[in-house]
This record gives sequence, C-alpha cells and structure tokens, in this order.
Amino acid sequence: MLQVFQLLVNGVMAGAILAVPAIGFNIVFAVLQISNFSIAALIAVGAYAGYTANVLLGLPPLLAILAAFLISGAAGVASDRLALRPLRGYGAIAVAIASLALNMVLENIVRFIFGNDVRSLDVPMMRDWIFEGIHVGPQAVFNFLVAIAAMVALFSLLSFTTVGRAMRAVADNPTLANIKGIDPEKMARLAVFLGMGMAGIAGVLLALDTAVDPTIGMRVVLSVFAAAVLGGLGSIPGAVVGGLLIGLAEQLSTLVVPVAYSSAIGFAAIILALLLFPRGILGDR
Amino acid sequence: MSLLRAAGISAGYSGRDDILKDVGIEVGACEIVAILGPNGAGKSTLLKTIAGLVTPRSGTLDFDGRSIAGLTPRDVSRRGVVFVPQEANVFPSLTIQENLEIGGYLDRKEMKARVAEVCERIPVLSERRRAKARTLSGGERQLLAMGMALMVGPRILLLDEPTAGLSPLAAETLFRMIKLIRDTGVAVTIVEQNAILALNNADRAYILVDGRNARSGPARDMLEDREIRRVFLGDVD
Ligand SMILES: Nc1ncnc2c1ncn2[C@@H]1O[C@H](COP(=O)(O)OP(=O)(O)O)[C@@H](O)[C@H]1O
Ligand SMILES: [Mg+2]
Repeated sequence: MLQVFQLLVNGVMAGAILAVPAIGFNIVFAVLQISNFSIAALIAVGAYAGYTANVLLGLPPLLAILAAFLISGAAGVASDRLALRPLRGYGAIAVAIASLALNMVLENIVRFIFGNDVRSLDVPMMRDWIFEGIHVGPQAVFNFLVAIAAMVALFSLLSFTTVGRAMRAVADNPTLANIKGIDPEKMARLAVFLGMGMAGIAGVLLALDTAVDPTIGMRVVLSVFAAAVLGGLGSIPGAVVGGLLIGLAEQLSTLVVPVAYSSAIGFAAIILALLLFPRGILGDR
Repeated sequence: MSLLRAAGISAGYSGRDDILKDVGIEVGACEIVAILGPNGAGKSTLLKTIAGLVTPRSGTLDFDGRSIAGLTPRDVSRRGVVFVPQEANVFPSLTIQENLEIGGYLDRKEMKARVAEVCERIPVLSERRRAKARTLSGGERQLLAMGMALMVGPRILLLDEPTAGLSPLAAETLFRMIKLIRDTGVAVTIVEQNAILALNNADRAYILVDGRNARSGPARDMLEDREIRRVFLGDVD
C-alpha cells in the first residue's frame, strides 16, 4: 500500500513536469494547427541553456530556468521561421514530418556544441523528506512547484491579457481574428515562443531531476505527445490532465511491468485515447 | 459622393473561374443598401471581396476616396469597413465579454465603457457576459456578431444575412437596430434572404444574379416594381 502511495506521489510530480512541454505542444497546435515534434530538441536546448547558465555562468536554478525559457523560445521561433513556415502551404502533415527532420538537426547542433557527455547541474545534494514512510526529494518538490508556477503563468497570460485573448481567438477562428484586426503571424510567433519556451523550462526541470545529455528530450517526447493527445490536441487544460495521467500511469505501471517497459505506457495511452476519445479527454474540436 | 464604390469587380476563389463578373455597387454615407439575389449568386463573395478575404482579379474598390483593393482583412477593418460574416462570426470558446473585447481589438481605449454601451444596446448579451459564445442560440449568436462589429466604431458595416436564424419578430427588431446604427452616421450594406423585409428597411438595393448586377434602384421603387416582385422576389400574386 505504501508503495502505491509512493508511486502516486512520484507520478503526480513527474506528470506535472510532463504537462509543461505538453502545454507547449498544444499551444502551438492550437494556434498553428501544426504538430511540431522538434519540441524534443528544444527540451534539450533548454536543458543545455540551463546548464550553461547554472554551471558555466554560476547562476541560480531559477535564473537558469528563465534563461532556458527565453533561449528555447527564441530557438523555436527562429527554427520555425527557417524550416517550417515555408512549408505551411503544403499542409499539416508536411510540416509535421519536416519538424521531425528539424528535430534531428537541432539535436545534432546541441551535440556538436556540448558533446555527448552526461553532465549535471550544480545543485546541492539533499536528503529526502520522509512523511509517514513516503519519500519526497526537496529537489523534486522544487521542480514540481516550478512546473506549477510556469503553468499558472501561462494560463494567466492566456486568460487575462489582451494578447492571450487574441491568441485564443486565432486558435478558434483565424479568419475572423484577422477581420477583427489580429495579426495571425504575430500570434503564431508568440505561440511558438511560449510553447517552445515551456519545452525549455521542462528541459531544465528534467536536468535537475536527473542529468543533461543530448537525448534528454527524445527520452520523454513520446510521453509528452501522449499527454497532449490524451488530454486533447490543442487544449491547454487537457495537456495538464494528460500529463498527470501519463505520469501516474508510467509510475503505477512499474507495479505490474518491469521499469524498462514503462515508456511503452505512452504508446498504449495514445492508442487507447485514439480508440476511446479520439478528440482527447478535454478536446472539443 | 459615395463612401464605398466597387466598380467592374471580377473575383473568385483560387484556381477557379470568376464568381463575380463585372459587379459594381455604391454605398453613400449613412445609407442602408441591400444586396439581394438567389442562393449562389455571389452576394457573400462580394462582401468577402470588399472585406479583403477574396482578392479582386479586376476592377476598382474604393472606400472614402482611397483604394482598399488588395489590403489584408485587418487593414480593411482598420479603415472602418467592418465585415460580419454569415457563418463562424463569433469565437465559440471565448466568453461573450471576451468576444466583445476582441471585437474592439483595433481600438482598445475605454474598453469597459464600450462593452457596457454595446450591452445596453443588446441586452441579451449583458445577461450572459460570462457564458461561452458556443452556448448561444443561433439568433443570440447573430446579435453577438453585431455587437462585436459595433465595438470599433465602424464607418460602414457589411452584414451577411444577419437575420438568419432569427424569428420574424427578432428580425424586425434587428432591422430597427440597424436603422438606429445608421442614424449615428454609419453606412450599412446588408445581404438578406427576406427581400421584402430588406426592401422595407433599405434605402437602395442591388439584385445580383449569377455573379452579375441584374437590377438596382431605390428600395421603394423595387418594392413596387411588379416585374421585380415576380421574377426576383418570388411574388406570385
Ligand atoms: N470558399 C469557396 N471556395 C470555392 N467556391 C466558393 C467558396 N465560397 C463560395 N463559393 C462558390 O461561389 C458561388 C457564390 O457563392 P456565395 O457568394 O456564397 O453566394 P450567395 O452568398 O449569393 O449565396 C457559389 O457557386 C459557391 O459555391
Ligand atoms: Mg451567402
């Protein structure tokens, strides 16, 4: 029983971190109607931006996270402009495939600059807190809180600001938004910046959780995509729900299957979601 | 001097033949002009062309003495030419309040006061400000779309079948509102299925058939023209 509670706690913490890039994936999907799989490489870009800020420049983790947000966001916008935007006229599938190629290019740029070595961020080792037999790492709690804060910030931006409303208007009906005076290109750039910035934040959180290497994004991208699909492509609350469910499912699955198979949970979740609720739990399109 | 002048307009959708063939209309300041004609005549295409959603292949399109041909929809709106499409004319996942605020996106000064003003004019909106637009009935949705258009202080409204889905009574009310809006100095171009209702409320009208100008004239004369009543308005008496 204790083990189940432990896994539930771990699952919620892992799920919150997965939800951050899942939101990023979905905000891009909502505004551009495009699946941008280069999010995996932008998680890695964020992780290395955080590493550079934290280890090489000696900045504290929160500033490293901010740097990762800005650099992944900017890299996302620049690479979208160069590699994906010219293909938009050829349809969503063409862009999705191009984003896979872009992902490889970006990942290899990271590899070229930083090499293949596994590196870790400069944070103190801390003893776990133990509540009624359940272990919780202070670092994991920090990461969880940062994930929540990032989601609340993005959610507030979308809900309570003019530019957030404008972005949701473009997601709803791009033609009408244009008639009402909203520049769809500007909103598309902003959505990519915010979405890939979220991926960057997740990169640092994953790096803080374990370590940094160029495949850090590829290791989680299936779970991220599963969270986005399960919650409903294009839905921000859906990404949060999807992230938590995938996080929990991956942890709880270790009760019945070997840990090595827990990444298959992502596949299973995508298939189940597409069979049971093709539009995702909170999708409405 | 007319406020809006379209002349010799040919236009169509990409990769297809012209839908509009040499169409011309003029709308004076403070004038209500009805665009009538059978389904598929090109009425919506004409409004979309003026609004910048369809690019004219030939002809001239002037608003207030300056060309608006080839402008993006948002630049056309910025000039004060505000188009309310026939369908998909609100943002379903935004609340009514948010829809109105997006309606006023081009001019965000005194947003609160202007939302209040529009709500006063269209009371059904103020009762449900926090509801998502997707929960509105067809008629309420049309009123919201109108309300959004009023948020920017338009100089001319282009309305595509705004009474679709309204009861006859609600349609009358909407036309009364349109006249009040006109009285504040706004020109109105309205596509309307109910030709009698439109001619009773408009100053002038154009009839389009198969993408061409068929007839035009003062609304009153057209109402009394037996041939027009028989051929275009489906009047059988
Ligand atoms: N987006 C579009 N793409 C291609 N053809 C269209 C499109 N919209 C309308 N049409 C065609 O243009 C013609 C005129 O349509 P429309 O302007 O909507 O007529 P009306 O509003 O008078 O009923 C019709 O034959 C219609 O099929
Ligand atoms: Mg029409």
